[in-house]
Parts: sequence; structure tokens; C-alpha cells
Amino acid sequence: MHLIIVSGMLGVGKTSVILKLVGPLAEGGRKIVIIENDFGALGVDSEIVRRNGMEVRELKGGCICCTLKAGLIDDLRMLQANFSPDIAIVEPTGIADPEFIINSVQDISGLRIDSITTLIVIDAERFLKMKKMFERPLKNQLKVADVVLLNKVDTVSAKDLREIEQGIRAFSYEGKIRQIQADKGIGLDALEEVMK
Amino acid sequence: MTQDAEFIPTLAAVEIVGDLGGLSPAEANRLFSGVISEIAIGCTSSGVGTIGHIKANFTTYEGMLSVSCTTDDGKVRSRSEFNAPVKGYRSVMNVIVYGIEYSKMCTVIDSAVKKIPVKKTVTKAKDSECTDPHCKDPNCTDPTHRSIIKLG
Repeated sequence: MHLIIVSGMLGVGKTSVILKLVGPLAEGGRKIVIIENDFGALGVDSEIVRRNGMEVRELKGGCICCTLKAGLIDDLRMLQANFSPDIAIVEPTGIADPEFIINSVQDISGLRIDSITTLIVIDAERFLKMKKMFERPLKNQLKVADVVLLNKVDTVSAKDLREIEQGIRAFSYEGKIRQIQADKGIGLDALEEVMK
Repeated sequence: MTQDAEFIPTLAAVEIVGDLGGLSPAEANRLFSGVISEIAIGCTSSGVGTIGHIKANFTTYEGMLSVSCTTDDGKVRSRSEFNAPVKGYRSVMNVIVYGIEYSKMCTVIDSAVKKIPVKKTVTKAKDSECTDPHCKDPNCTDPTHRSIIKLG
């Protein structure tokens, strides 16, 4: 099973990215499961995913990189045993450290993860503010990013985009940065990096 | 512990049930979006440092309005909207913000929600009133042990 972690701070557009990714990923008959971890007590994102015709497993009221770590492992085990998915997409909360998730799902008895891709979604509109406020969690997220998806690029100028990309690089991130508009599906149609 | 207590936001989950009596979809979209916008602007003017997100789904038998706001100016983005007149509806809303006391946030939410016809409102907070500055446990369930981050 290939694991895709779609991480990023609160409100960056993680669910929108997943909704647009699922279609192309499902081509060729791949089986996909989605695990949603809403920090809020009510699962808003999972309801959206469900309304889009997908089955979703919901972990709410905590964070899967710490308090709900065991729940995540149990769910992945259960989904693998019952559905044999090709891909599991995990959307952690905005405050999660994806490295903890990566470490916690490896070498677990009864769970076979063949490969992991970590996508970090960044909100172009709020990046400079978020960078100032949440430097450490942002740095942690970028440390394990395979691809950065710079979302809402339609809300900032070309000059601001250059500054934002420099800001991302300042975290010693050397991987790909894709400019996207997740709600319109722009930039996500050929995300070949998702499948290693 | 995998996160820093300072990054833990103040949050509320609100569940609303109501009836708009067949309001046109355009007006219903505008009304509900306005509530989300008002919460964002209200929280900002009450001292919120940044909005994590304010997102809500308003659902009826016929469809769903899914809206969110992440900016101080109250600009609302919608993922899906109503296309049919709205009668009975149910809404789930998560408000996640940084740098505000829970009670202030609830005042803002209550004031905004009063703008729409509501039969029942349930507001749930999770670990949101801890004010002990020495408590560094982000998973603390003691309501007296949650530090509110000071920004700026």
C-alpha cells in the first residue's frame, strides 16, 4: 500500500487538494481509501469528502501524530485487511508533524506500507504571516516534504509569489514547488510525484 | 508530546438545526456565508492573532453549502452551494483561531448565529479554557490547564 500524507497548516486547502487528486489517482482501477483527521470536534472535511461520493474514515477530536496515533495505525491495519487498497491518503490536522506520522506507521506488525509520499500544502495568501507565527511547525513539515503545493496562487501577485518561494527555500527545502489552485483543480492534473 | 503547547488553538464546534422556510438558494448562500464572514471579522476585532480556519457545511436533503474563511477580512470561499430553495437545514461548523479566549470567541459565534433562523444550537468546546501558563501539555484535558497564546 502506498501512503500519501497531505499535510499543511490549518485552512491551506488540504481537503480541496485531496478531492481533486482522487479522480486521477483512481484511474486504472486503483483502490483508494481516505483517512480524515479533523482537529475540530465535528468532522466538516469528512462530510465534504463523503458528499463527493467517497468512503472516508474519520478520526476527530485529536491529532493523529500524537493523541490519535494508535487510532491511525488501527485504521490503516483494518483498511488494509478489509479493502486491500492500493493507496491510502491521510489528511492530518493543520498542527500535525508529518514526520511523527511517517515514523509511526513504519515497521508496524500487520501493516505493510510500500512507500510514502508527503505533500505539504501552503497557502500563498497567508504564507508570510504563517511563517512568522508558526515557523517551527512549518519547518517540521517542510523537512519531510516530497513536494510543496503552493495553493491559492491566484490571490497574490507574481512578485509576492517569488518572495513566498524564496521564503519556502529559506527553510532549506530543495524539492519541487508546484503552484496550484486546488479549488479549481489547476496544477493538480498531472501530479506524477504523488506516485513514486 | 509532539507539538508545542503554544501552537494549540482555541476552538469551538457548533451544530445548528434550523429552517429557512424555502428561502431562495442565492439568499441562503448569502445568509450562511455572511455568518462565517461575521465570525471571522468578529474574532479578528476581538483580538484574534490569526484564523486557523472557520469552516462549515450547511446541509439539506437537496444539497450542501460548504464554506470556509481563513482571512481576517472575512472573505469566504465556497466549495459547493445550494441550487434549490432551502427549508430545513443542519449545519456543522468548526471555528479554530489563535490568540483569543474561548468565552470571547463564543460571544462572537453566538452573535453571528443569531442572524439566522435556528431551532437548536449546540456548541462544543474541546479543552479550550485552560489558562495555566505553566501547562505545556497540548493534550491536556483539564479545563484549567490550557494556555492561550499571546501574539504580536
